[in-house]
Formats: sequence, structure tokens, C-alpha cells
Amino acid sequence: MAARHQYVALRTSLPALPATPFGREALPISAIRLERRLGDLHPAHREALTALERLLDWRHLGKALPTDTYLRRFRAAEPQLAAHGVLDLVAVPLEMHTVVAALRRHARGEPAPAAGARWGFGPRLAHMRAHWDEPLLGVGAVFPWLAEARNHLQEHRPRELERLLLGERWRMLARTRRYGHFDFREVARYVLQWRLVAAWRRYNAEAAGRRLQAGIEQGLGHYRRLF
Amino acid sequence: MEQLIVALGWAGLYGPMALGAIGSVIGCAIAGQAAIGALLETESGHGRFIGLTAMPSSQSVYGIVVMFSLQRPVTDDTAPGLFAVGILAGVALLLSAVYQGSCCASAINSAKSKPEIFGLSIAPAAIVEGFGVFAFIFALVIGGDIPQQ
Repeated sequence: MAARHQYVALRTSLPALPATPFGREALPISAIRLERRLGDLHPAHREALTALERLLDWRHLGKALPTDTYLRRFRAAEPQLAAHGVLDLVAVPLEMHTVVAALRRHARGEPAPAAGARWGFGPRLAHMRAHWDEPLLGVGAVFPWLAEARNHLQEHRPRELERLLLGERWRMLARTRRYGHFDFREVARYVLQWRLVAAWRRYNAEAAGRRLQAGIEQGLGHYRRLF
Repeated sequence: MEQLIVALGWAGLYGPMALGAIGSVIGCAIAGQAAIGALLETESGHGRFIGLTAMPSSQSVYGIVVMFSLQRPVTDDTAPGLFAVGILAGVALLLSAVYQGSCCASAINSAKSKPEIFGLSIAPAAIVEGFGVFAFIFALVIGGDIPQQ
């Protein structure tokens, strides 16, 4: 069977994802069931998918992971991901993260990174460093969403920023869909899109919990000391 | 040399059948796997998914008919025509079966989550079938011009 039809049964056994990740409906497939279905992957593909997730999922990264360590991890996984045709699925979001991180540093008034410093990912690092004084670091035309992201950063709207970035990643993954292909790349793309839906659901649940707690405390006023 | 020409004639005679069958094997396998996957995610409509997987089998039937229509003594005079018509018809049937299977797999993948588009989603597979029918019909027509002896 040709590579494009390697995972016909697996891909068709995965339910359709919602049109956007921001809906309120339940996840179309649970994490446990998804894991069980992914058990049909070839061991080499399973490893590549794990490498992909380790690079993109912050649960595997930790908040204080140095950029150098992260880049080393990426360089180590790069040949494997390229061999399985999924390198762009991780390269594009990593460049997005780099641009947003640069925007944060710029907003905090930090100077441009030193020449030769390993401070991010992508082909536009030198260009951003050279245009550090510009509001959008000279890459506003390449990333049309950057102006909006900058506004959210300046207005301290983390939820809106998160939503914008998540929506951009979703669109990127949707654009790379290849209809009629049932290969590993399509399975990996599905898993990454599923993770975005799950992340937003989780984020919503956590935010709702925080709002409820704040409402309770506000409602109780000084009586909360009784409880 | 004469033996080679005769062998090619026989290849042309059996080609439509063999190549059509190979195409049907691949096409039905692709569509069948898609149907099996979809069965895991759907509560009803299983029969029509399984029925759709049989669509690429028609190329085998066309191949058999072309083979019988070309059947005649294989000689120096008939072998070139048999080879050209038989092999080209066979390749056309093979490719139409493989790509029809791919269309069926996509149709099943889409229709499993949106059953109301099932009818429309099999239109591309039907169009691909149409080109297989063209190859079949005109192989019969042109095969009539090959000498009988």
C-alpha cells in the first residue's frame, strides 16, 4: 500500500473535529480513546509523534526551560521529523512562539539580543534583531496577526492573546490538510488539532473555576472568614 | 523475435483482465479500510459504507469483457494490435480502480460525520468510474479492427 494510504483505517476511525477550537461542545474523542486508536501507528511513527508532542506541549517542557536546551532538543528531533514529513508542523508554531517572545521582551523594554545569541527559532532572527526598534520588529507583514497580538500584550489581555495564537495555529494546521491523503502526516496533523481543542477546553474550565472562586469570595465579603 | 511478438500478444490478451483485477484489489482494499475505520465511529449506515467499498470491483468485470472481446488466435498479424489495445485498456482500468478506491475512502471519511452528504460525496468516485467505462467501451470498439487471424 502506498504511503498516502498507510493509515486509511486509523484516519477514518477518528471523528471530525469542530470547525474552530473555541466551541463549547464536548471533545469529539477522549484522550484515552485517541491514545488507543494511535496504537495502530508504526513504532517509528509513534516515536516521531511523541517527539512532535514533546516539542510543542508545555507539559513536557516546563516553564523555565532555557532556550538553548530547547533548541538542542529541536535539533536532535529535526532529522526524525523531517524524515516523516512533519517538520513544518512544528517549525511554524515554534517561529510563532519566538516572535511573540520577542514582542514580550520588546514590550518590557529589553535590548535586542546579542549577535550570535541563540534566542529563538526560525529564519527571521537576524531580521528581527536588526529591526528591534520598530513596533512589530519588521515582521508585521509576514505575520498579519502580530499587530493584534501586540495590542493584547500592551493592554494586558492574556486570554485574548492566547485565543489569537491558538486560532492562528489552528488555521495553519487546517491549511496544511491534504484531502485524499491518509498518511502519518495527516494523523499527526489531526492529533495536533485535537490538542488545540483540548487545550482551549481545559483553559476555559480553569478560567471558569477561577471566576467562580472570585465570585464566591466577592459574594461572601468579610463573612468568608467564617468559612 | 516471433516468439516475443506472440508473447506480447498474449500479454495484451490477458492484460485487461489482470491489470483491472490488480486495480480492483488495491481500490477495494483502500475503500475497505476506510469503511472499517468509519465503523468504529458511527452507530448506523454501516451497510452503505461496506457497499461503497465494492465500487472499484467493476474494473475487473470490464477487464474480463475486454479480454473475451479480444480473444482470437495470437499470430504475428494479431499480436501487435492485441498488445497495444489490451495493455493500454488494462492500465486505464487499473488506474481508475485505484483512484476510485481513494475517492471512496475520502467519501466515507466525510460522510461518517455528515451522513446527509453521502450521496453527493460518491459523485467523484462515479466520475472516475465514467472514465473507466470510456476505456472499456472504446477498447471494445477499437478491438473490432484487429484482424481475426
